[in-house]
This record gives sequence, structure tokens and C-alpha cells, in this order.
Amino acid sequence: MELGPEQWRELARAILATRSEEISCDQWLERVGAYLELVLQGRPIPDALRPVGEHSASCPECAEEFEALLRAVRGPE
Amino acid sequence: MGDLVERAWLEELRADGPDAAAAQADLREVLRRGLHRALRGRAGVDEATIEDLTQEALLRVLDRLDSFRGESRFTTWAMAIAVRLAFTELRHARWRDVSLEVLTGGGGAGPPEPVDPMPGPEQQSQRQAVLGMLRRVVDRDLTDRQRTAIVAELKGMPQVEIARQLDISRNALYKLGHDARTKLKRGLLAAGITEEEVRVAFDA
Repeated sequence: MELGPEQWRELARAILATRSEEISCDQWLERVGAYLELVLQGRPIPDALRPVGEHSASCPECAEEFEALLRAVRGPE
Repeated sequence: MGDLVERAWLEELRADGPDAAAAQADLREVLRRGLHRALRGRAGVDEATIEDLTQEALLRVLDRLDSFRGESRFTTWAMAIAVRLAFTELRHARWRDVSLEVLTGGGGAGPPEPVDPMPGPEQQSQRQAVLGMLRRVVDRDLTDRQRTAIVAELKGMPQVEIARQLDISRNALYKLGHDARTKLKRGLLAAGITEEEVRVAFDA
């Protein structure tokens, strides 16, 4: 069992993005709605919501869900 | 949708009266359209799948109505729940027959591979040094469970499936991964490798 070059790169990115305090995926879900609306409105992100973006940097699944949520909310079909 | 309209809609959803059915139908349509957009182009997702996911999402949102705090639009909050449910279901369906043990194979992370060919023997040597140290830290500092979780996720197994096979919650798995990443970061810094060196070595 070995890791390929892209997997090592992904691990390196995840390590670089790691912070001492991070929110969990469930905590991200609770706050992502407010965060997303600010992004869509082009408004600055307050400190209280910065962990949402930081979590996406180290959680590929939540990052994927964020992109999907953007498509879902933006519309039209 | 204005605040007043949204508040009225929420009240109808919460109440069990004659307007509840219409309110639920409206919500269902919002979720269905949103999931259509969210899952567009995703392999293996047809109309029937979207209908099933929409129905499950509707029930999940109705079940959690009391936890809506008004920090975003209700439809945004509901859509986030629907997207989380949909992706969790789809990931689980794709990976449920894959064995975690077979995927990760036990033991260490294997010998490091060169990330990309790079000009210059000095740069190659620098890369190999960082790669080699990262591999040592993975093998030395992580517990078996942490290594399994990290490697499985790197190999594409979704968190919901890793958590299920490790018999822990998704949140516990995230903490396991966070602790592992923190150890790796500390291990590299303790070995004198800077973040910049990691960034350059992996083009990260």
C-alpha cells in the first residue's frame, strides 16, 4: 500500500492548512448558510465565521458540499 | 423571499394545520430544484435518485425545524442540510462494500514517490528530504488508527464510510484526522522543515 504523488501533495496541503483550533463538520454545517450568503453578496466575512472557510481548506468533503450548495442556492436550473 | 413571508412559511411548517401540507410541498419543490442544481453532472444520479434524496431531505429538515436560528435564510439553511444528506448518501452507496483494511493495507504509508520531475539535482534532493521526513513522521508519530483514517481519506474513501468502519462518529473521525495533521505539522517543524519548504517541495 503506497501513496501516490498527488496524495502526498494533498496531505501536504492539508498539513499546511491545519490550525490549532478547527470546527467540526457538523459545526461547519450549522454556520455555512450564513457564510455562503455573505460570499454571494460579496460582503466581508466576520471573525466569527472565518472558521467556516478555514474548515473547507482542510476538509475536501465540506469543500465539495460548499460548491454544491453554491450551485443549489444560486439558481437558475 | 422577504422576512415576513419566510416567518409565515416557517409557522405553517411548524404547525400541524391545514396549511402545513401546502407549506411542505413548497419546501419540497425548493429542495428538489436545489438538489438538481447541486448534483448536476454527478455520475449515477438520475431523476429517481433526486426524488428519493429530496424526500429524505424534506423529512430531515422538518425534523430539525426547531434548530433553525435565523442566521441565514431558511431556504439556505434547509438547502445545506439537503446537500449534506445527499452527498453522505451518495458517498456511502459508492463505498460501502470497500474494506477499510484492504484499502489501507495496514502498516505505514509506503515509500515516498517523487511529486513531479523537477529541474536541478539540488531541488530534487531537497524534495526527497522533505518527502522522506514526512513519511518518517507519518510512520513514527501517528497511531495506527490515525494513519488508517488519513490514508483512507487520501485514497478517496468518504468520511461517512471511514467512520462507519471504525465504529466512530463523523465528528470523532474529524477530530482523529485533525489530531493526526497537527502531529504531522509539529513533527515536520521539530525536524527543522519549514512550511515554506513543504510548500515548495509539493507545489502545495
